[in-house]
Amino acid sequence: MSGIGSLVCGYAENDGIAKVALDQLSSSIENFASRALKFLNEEFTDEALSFGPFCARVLLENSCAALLGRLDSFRMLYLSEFQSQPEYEHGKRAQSAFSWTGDVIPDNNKCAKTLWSLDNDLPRISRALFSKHFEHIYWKPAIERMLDFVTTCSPNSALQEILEIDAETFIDKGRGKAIQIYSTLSKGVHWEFFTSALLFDEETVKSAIRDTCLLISQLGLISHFIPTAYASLEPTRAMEEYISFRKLML
Amino acid sequence: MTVEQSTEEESALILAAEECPPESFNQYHSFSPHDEVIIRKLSAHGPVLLRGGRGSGKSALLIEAHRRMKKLSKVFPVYVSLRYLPLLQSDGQEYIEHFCILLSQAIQREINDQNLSYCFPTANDQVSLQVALMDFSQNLGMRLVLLFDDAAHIGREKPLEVFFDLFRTLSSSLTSCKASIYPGVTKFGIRFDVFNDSTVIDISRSDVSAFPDFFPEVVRARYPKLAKRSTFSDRLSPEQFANLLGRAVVGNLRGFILACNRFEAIDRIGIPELTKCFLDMASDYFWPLMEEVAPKLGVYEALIDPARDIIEAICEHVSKPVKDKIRVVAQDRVLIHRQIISQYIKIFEILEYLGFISRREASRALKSGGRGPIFAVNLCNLLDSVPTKRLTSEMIDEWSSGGMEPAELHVSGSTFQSIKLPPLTEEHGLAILQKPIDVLARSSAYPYGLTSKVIGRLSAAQISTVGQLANSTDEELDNIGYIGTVKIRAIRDVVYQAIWM
Repeated sequence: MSGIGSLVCGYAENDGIAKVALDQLSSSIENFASRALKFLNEEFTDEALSFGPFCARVLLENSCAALLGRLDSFRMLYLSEFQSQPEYEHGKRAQSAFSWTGDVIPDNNKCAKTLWSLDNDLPRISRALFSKHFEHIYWKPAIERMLDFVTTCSPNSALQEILEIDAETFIDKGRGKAIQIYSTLSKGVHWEFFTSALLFDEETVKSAIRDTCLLISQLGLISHFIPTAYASLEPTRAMEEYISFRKLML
Repeated sequence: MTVEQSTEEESALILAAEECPPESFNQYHSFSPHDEVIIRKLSAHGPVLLRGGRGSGKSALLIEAHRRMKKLSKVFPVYVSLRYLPLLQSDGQEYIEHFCILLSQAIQREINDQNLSYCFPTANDQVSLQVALMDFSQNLGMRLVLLFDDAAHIGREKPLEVFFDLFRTLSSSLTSCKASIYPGVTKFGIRFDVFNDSTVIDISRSDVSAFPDFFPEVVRARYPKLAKRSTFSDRLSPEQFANLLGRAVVGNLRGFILACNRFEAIDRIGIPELTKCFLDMASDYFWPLMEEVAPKLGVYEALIDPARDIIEAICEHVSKPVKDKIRVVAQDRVLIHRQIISQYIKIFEILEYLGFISRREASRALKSGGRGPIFAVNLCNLLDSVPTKRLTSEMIDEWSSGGMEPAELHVSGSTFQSIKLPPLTEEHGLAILQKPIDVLARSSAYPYGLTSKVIGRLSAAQISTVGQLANSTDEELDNIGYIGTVKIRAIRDVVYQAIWM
């Protein structure tokens, strides 16, 4: 157990749909994270080349889904409920399914350009994980609370990257990073290589795995400092989980 | 051994990574586990900007990545130094043309070095360069990694927008661009989104407690004598020595090497010798750095005086509780309200670039309200401002641990009250190019500068400004009496130091 499952999904005490969904995601995240870390830390193999990007991609998507679910419980409960309905068919795309563009990265064509305006109608207020409104309402204050908490902890080299976080820029950087990693990992999953020059190698696969682990663990840590987030851990426990996971990344 | 030879050898000790002979590179450079992660990132697919101050080790990382990639079968790496005078003097289309030719030539050199039979066309515009890169990559069946060193000169910001435009245009799934930049590059142009079009990696080594093995490792590789227990007094271990010195120069590798050089002739090192090194570094390294750099700052040259005032004010602020006997050890880090930072932003960038300070944390709450970054202050200037001017064991322990509470500069404080910002003029090139060659005379700013005889001979040959000297060919210099190959190299080294950072 790397601890990343509970760092991202928290711990839901009450039984119910949300707990089932988060427990399921947590177990999947743990499973794929342990494989991804193995590919990152051990000698590079053909297996790592073939499956490393896949594991990191699942890790990224599941983590973003879990974080979104904890911040916007309605979205998680809706998806969970819908998937148990007879109308939900495996062979067909559901228009309201969880999607990278829309749920994680805001769809620039559909969301409001300005943060606050009388003309912004509700459908244009993006509830994507990296949207401007989520950044303002959830992430920025949580980052400052998290950094204030870090100053009360004893110095630890595993917190180096955390101390470099600035609430003003973290989500902009994180959005760019998430888009880049997603795109890179997609190429590793779909093997859309029509020229041998494009093929992945150790440097690219390991960098992408490490970037994924770092991003989701940082988002996971910060999420526990959002007062309205579901299933949050105590700050001390969240920090311990972060440090122990960070130490697993070479 | 002649004086000239000795000077040559001495200067070899302080040459930057890009000037280190390839066969000795391995011997003189060591890399921390964190560096290994950066090197991997520089070798992977995708655009990367490597950000760090002068002498922070950016070039060493790029060169090491280049060396390692040469051993890979699927990657063709090209290292290009953009320290090329015409690039510094041009903008727009003219810059693009120089850049494309420079890159084409570098690629061809790399092809020749690797004994490949391919003729890379000399492109002079970005479209033909793009096509040439794609053809080359597909023909080779390898992806390309272009490593641009010194992409940005702190005193010339105008061409930066053009550079980042080129960086973005040339980046593709077949070509990964990587470039070293300095803290404070903010003009990325309208087409380049720094967060989406690249990954920015900051080099920071000022917290020696986070990487306790790095500086001792550098010492072991480069100065075996300074890694021996017998060289030190009972109160100082080789590891403490290396880490304290690393912390003193806020993790700046060039500063670290210069500090280590001062101990080469000392048989036994104790706290008094370290004290002397710190104070000497303050007076003959840090302050002269300001003089050396001022004419290279272009439009920001006028900010050097307030930069000096600000670092003095910071040192004064952190040493005041010691003067007032409230503290025994001066705080070595300072938390500054972000409103103050935004008022003096360029000055802080210059101070960070030069290695006077190093950003340790991005955002921390001040007791009086508001937030701001924490900077580590170099210990040489700090010790110089402490009343006793003497290092103690307590100082060594506290400063090496990285655990001291930082001093705070509140938004309503008066520390910077008297510091006025001069108006900045239009960008018109670097003043250093118009300066008379006398500025290159041997001094604390140019310890390996020109002798009066050489200056006299150059002046007699109608070479009177640094710009003229930089533009003279080896042949023109060779035609001057008593100036031969060795001397030309020494002249080039000084001119290089004078123009580039």
